[in-house]
Amino acid sequence: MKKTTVKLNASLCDRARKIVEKAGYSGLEEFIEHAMERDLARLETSESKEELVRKLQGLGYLK
Amino acid sequence: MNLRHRDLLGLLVAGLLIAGGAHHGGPQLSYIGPGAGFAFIGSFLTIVLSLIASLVSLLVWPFRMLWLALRRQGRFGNARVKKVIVLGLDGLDPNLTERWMAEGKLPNLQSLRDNGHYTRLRTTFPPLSPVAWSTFATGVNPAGHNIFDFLNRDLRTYAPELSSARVRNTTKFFKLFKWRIPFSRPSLELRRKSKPFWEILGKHGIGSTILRIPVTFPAMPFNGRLLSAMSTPDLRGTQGSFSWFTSDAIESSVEGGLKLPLTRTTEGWHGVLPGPDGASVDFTLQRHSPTGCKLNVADKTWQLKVGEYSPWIRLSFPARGIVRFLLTEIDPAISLYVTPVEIDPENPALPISHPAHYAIYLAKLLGSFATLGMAEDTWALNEGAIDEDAFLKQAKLIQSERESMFFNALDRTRRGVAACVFDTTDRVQHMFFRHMNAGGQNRHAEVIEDLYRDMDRIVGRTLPYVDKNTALFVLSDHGFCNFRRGINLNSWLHQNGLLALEEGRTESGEYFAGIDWSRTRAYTFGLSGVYLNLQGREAQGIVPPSEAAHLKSELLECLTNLPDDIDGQVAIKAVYDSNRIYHGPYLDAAPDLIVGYSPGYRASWSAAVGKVTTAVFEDNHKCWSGDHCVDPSAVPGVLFSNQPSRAPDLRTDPGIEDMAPTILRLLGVDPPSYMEGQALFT
Repeated sequence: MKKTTVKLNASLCDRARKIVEKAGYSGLEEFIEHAMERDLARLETSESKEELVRKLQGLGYLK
Repeated sequence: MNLRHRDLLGLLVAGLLIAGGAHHGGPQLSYIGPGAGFAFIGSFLTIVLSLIASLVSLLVWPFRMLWLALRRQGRFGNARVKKVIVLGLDGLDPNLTERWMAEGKLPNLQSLRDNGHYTRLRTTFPPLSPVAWSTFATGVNPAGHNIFDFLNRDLRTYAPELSSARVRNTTKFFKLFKWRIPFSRPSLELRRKSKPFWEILGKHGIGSTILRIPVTFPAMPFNGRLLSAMSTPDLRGTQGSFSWFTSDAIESSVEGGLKLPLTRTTEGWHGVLPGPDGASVDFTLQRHSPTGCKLNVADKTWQLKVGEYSPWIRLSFPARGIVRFLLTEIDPAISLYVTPVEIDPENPALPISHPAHYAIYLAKLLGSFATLGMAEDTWALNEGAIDEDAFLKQAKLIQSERESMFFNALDRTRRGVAACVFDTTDRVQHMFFRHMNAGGQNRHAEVIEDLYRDMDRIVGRTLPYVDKNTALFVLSDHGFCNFRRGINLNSWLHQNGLLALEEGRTESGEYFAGIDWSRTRAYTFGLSGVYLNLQGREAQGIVPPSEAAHLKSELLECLTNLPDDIDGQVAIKAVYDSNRIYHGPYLDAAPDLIVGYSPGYRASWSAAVGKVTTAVFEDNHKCWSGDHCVDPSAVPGVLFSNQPSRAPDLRTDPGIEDMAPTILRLLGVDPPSYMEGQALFT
């Protein structure tokens, strides 16, 4: 998977760096990605329920 | 380039220029232009530069070797071993393993136990492969890696999604003849968070070969080689949809696949195999013997014999896929099973390996192989498209592919990690548990015992790769038990006034079709979680956060020790508040309660897909008759090692989260502070 570079406020990153491992993240990158994902989950359009269910077809544990 | 080389080059160029100038004095027969001169000088330069490069390379070779040796010394400076081998046997159960070791049926595991170490290995809440193997890889609990079940939910729509990977296809296509070509590549996302130990080792210059450890799709870059496993889709974007052709069928859906017609032609039968995005491949069958047919597909002919799988056949949709055909019946009607169209490892449409060419390398070297996350087709057996013998043959073919890859990795690994998970153990136990205690007349009664013996054989084949500088771990992520009765907690919630259906309904559809969310306080789907319909979290949540703790403790009290309505047996051993068992940045995504079913029980098939039925309890009549989605204390895994235990009295309760820090420590790398597990061996 491709990665991209984003320039962030250095002092903000310094603040984050101090708490990331204590909070259970493996690093600053994961912390920022999680923050982005939480907002994206709210703002992005969901895939249709039919498409999501179709993708689960064949998973042995589920009917 | 040093001075001598530059002088030599200058002399050569000057000489050539002088030689070229000499022509002006003599008769000019024809003008040949400057190209020939440049070509001549160019080729000369290439030779000279190559010679120089070789010379320089020779001169610096001893220094390079010294530098590499010093770096390697640095990398492995604190290491106790040079190599770690991990042989993962998904679902290997401690009760069965211990019983058959005691009976002398598993001599290699027995010897590993006697000369090294054996312990039961605590699994995760809940004891599911994607959860447990993610904890194995990262050394953190589910709230640290974000995998809590096979399914996750969209909080806006309550729709289910695969928890481990997200593949979003492009919605724009252009048509080329019969094909729809996408404008862009699909968007891919690995949903497992935190960092697996192999990425941490890679950052310290220690390479790993990681084969088929669950929840590794899409393959992420790191210093090493990786082949993805569980959650890798088929070419149709599903978790594996088989095709079942019969000469007397009309097209219809069956669980996990499609039932399709074979149409009669003058020479035999014709079928159309569906691929991705509406694409398909035509094939024909011609009967050539009482037990065989000729298959014509993709401009090639193959001989099919009843009960024997074809080799992997490559098809173009135009995305490249592979399938195996199996003729299951020829008289009175033709019945043909086709595996899901799997991603072709020689031409992968999605990133199933790192580096991308690793899958290609394996396929070229060892032959094509199954790439689907759960390649053993359990639904085909449940639905009767194949029988037990065909399922076992398929599982053995996949295991044999995996074995070749694993031993290729062992042959290549002198330092670092070689890890491989075999999931035949899990799939075969799921499908054959009902036969195990069936008695002498049942010819499948010993399938699971034979499977364990075969795993023991693989352990025996691994032992010659283990020397004093190697740590070997043979482990499983969870154990196994039977699955006799299903519990539908949506139905229980409905009957107890905590889940409401739309007016006039007595049952809901799958994935909550027909649920009245404005009157629903709790719901379940997947294999072990119960969720509150929480205000501010779920789109139509009604439980105020101030009431959440009270509702959870009420549910916990009512569901713990829930009796079976037939015989009063305790069907739920314990219920766990996720706030108490998990901690980490992804706690918000966890179910509110984790249900620990008693052995013999599990979330029913209907509850797993978010359905409300009239009955809370139902018998399980499917071939899928063994399971492990129960209370974790009932299904621990196993851990064998050639390493002596450091302090068995201190580490009496080793868990799967201890494996990542153990491997890091053995290879001389300090586990990061966010990892929860502790090194089991020094």
